[in-house]
Amino acid sequence: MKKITALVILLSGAALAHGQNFVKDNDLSKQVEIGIVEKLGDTIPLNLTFSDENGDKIVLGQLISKPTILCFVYYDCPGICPALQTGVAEVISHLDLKLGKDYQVVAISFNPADTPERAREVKSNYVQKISEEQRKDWHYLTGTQENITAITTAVGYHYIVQGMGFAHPSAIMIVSPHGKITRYLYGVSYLPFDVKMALFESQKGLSRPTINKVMELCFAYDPQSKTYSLQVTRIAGILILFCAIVILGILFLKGRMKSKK
Amino acid sequence: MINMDKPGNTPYVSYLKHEGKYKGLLGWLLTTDHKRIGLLYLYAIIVFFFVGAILGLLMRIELIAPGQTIMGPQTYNGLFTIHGIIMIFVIVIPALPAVFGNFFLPILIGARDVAFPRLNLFSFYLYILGAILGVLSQFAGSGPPDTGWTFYVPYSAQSSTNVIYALVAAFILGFSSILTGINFIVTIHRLRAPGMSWFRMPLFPWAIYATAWIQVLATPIVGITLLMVIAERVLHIGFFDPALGGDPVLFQHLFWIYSHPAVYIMILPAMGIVTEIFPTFSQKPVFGYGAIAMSSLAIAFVGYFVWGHHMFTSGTSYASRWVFSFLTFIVAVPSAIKVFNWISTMYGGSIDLKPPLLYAISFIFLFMIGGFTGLTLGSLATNIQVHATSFVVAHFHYIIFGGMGFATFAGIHYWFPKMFGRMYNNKVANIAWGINFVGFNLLYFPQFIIGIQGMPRRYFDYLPQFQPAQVISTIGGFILFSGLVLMLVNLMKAARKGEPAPANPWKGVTLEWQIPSPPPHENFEEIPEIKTKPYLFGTGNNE
Repeated sequence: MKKITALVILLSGAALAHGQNFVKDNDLSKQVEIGIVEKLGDTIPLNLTFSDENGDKIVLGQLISKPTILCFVYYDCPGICPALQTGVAEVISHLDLKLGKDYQVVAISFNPADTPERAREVKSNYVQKISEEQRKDWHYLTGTQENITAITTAVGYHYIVQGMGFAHPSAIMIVSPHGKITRYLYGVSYLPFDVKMALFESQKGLSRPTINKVMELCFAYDPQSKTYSLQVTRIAGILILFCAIVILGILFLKGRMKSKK
Repeated sequence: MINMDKPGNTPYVSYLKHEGKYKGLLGWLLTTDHKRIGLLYLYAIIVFFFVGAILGLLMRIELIAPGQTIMGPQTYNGLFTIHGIIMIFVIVIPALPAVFGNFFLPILIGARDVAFPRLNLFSFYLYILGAILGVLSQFAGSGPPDTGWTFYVPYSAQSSTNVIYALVAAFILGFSSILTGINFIVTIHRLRAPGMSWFRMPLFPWAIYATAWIQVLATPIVGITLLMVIAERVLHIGFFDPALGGDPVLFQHLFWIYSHPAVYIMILPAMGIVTEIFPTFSQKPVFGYGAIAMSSLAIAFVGYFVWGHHMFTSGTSYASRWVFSFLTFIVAVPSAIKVFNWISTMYGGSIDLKPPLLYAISFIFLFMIGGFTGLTLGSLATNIQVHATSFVVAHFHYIIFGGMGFATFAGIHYWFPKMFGRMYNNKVANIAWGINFVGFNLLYFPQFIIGIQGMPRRYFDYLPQFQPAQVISTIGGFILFSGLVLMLVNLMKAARKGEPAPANPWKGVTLEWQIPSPPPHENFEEIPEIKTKPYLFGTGNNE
């Protein structure tokens, strides 16, 4: 009897624990309401139409013709959006790739109330350090709720309305010239190196300078630390050891040379 | 014992007079004879050594008084950088394998040459190219490099000076070292005389063998690392520079993964040399042959895993600090085994206090001071106190100069009669030894004391309280330099008109003493067959 009681207690305890887990799972899915679910390799819907900061209608498919840094902001954000845009502006000035030639930046507002006029005002805050002729390659888009939902769902960008504004994650995405999502970089400031590598990667399968391929050989993306880590040392180390073992093996197999005299 | 015709009875042509395909100067510059290549290295290294020594002396003069004495801070930075680069990469790393390894390794194992004689000559020219580039970095372009010989990033990625010259120089010198290492490994495996099993091999070849593996395995790492710094400077790839997204501590790891084992590239052949000297001048079999041979391999092996002790203050994790500290203490064990064996070899022997033995004994003394202070640096707590002070400078000069340097002098005085076929003046050599020993200790010992008191290394200026020690140090520097000059003059005089040397002036028993002085072109008329262990000194076959 005692045994059975113990078993029941144990089982109910397990059920309780499981219940707690369930609640936790719920928490997690709530968290994903604000956050990012990576959709690497997916293609963003290229048929969506947005307005740029000049009020011109623009189809995403026409816009995205080179590696693109994609970010989501809303223009009255009191929190991390300004920090994110400052971070992007910083990284543009530090990259040795040329904005407009090698890549472009697209900032999409997820607030359907934002207008091209407001976009123009906001843009002027962040393009100070960028030369006049390059400014046009940082696009500020606004659009309808329907299109916003389509694009944010496609890239796995989840946010909710909260009070007067939104609660939303902070990251930039790298999109290939064919509209494929190739990398997510998190936070509000980005290492020029990571961005450069990500832009290189997004050209995969396209013709590109050899140096990019060398760089990709040297570095690999480490999903755990969410950054690029050096690969070349590991490869070189294994090669050196391999050669050493081969030499030693040959020497022991062949033994001493027969003397000539 | 080895059966050989009594040398001197049969007329022969020595390697110094031998005429091959090329004559005169070309006969030297294009030679593939391991002995001639050894001498080429020796001459080059002597020249660079005096360049490095004069640079060191200039630093000592600057430090004789606080404030600016003869140069400004930027000049001083350039001086200690190039002093380090020349001394480490051009002299102490290649010197012993390239000079004595080349000359005596084939003879000691009963071979006519190294396995790849042409590769050997190629290594020499790589060495010269690298050395010249290193010196050129002082004069060409935008000013002498000022990073220190360790090239720490991020400064080396940003300094506007000639860092690239110096990096390329070190890279090329590294390649020369790798090729020499491969050559020796193959030579030892393939060319030992008949009957010479591994454990009938003399102990200097054992030391060279352990060294060669370090050269082959560790040097590529620094080669790649230096290339990465060049790529960082030229292509702005962010390997190490945090401004580009790199990791500066990674550079320190990669650099020391090579540069710590490099310390054993210097010291292992030095230990090998004195291991040859103690039995000869004690006329007694070496004590603990197996222990000495195995401790060479053990030092080479454990020496790979201690690099982190250079980085105790670089913010590495606690776990890695205590592991590296522990391994550093472990590497002291095989070193101590050797010291006990050398002393036991002398114990009860008939000791003949000639210049080679004087240098070998002072090697033990200086190496032990260097070794024990190395443990001070290897302990986590004391390391923080003395890190980057002149204590470190004193420590590694005791190891590198007191250890490797004095062993080199021991080797030169031991093998000089064989290499040049002439005897030097013993009395002058003894006096030069005395001056060197006193000058060395005066120069470096005060650095330990002011290091503990807080004198930082790499500063051209200091607080007035350190001046007495700095003055003693500078005086010691001049005494040491004059001793070195006296030693060199004595040897140069002997090489030209010393008395002809007999085949076996020290009553040695290893193979090099069984052939004439200087050796013939192909070393052996007939390759000897080895039937016993080395170093028996007529005590019978104990196999």
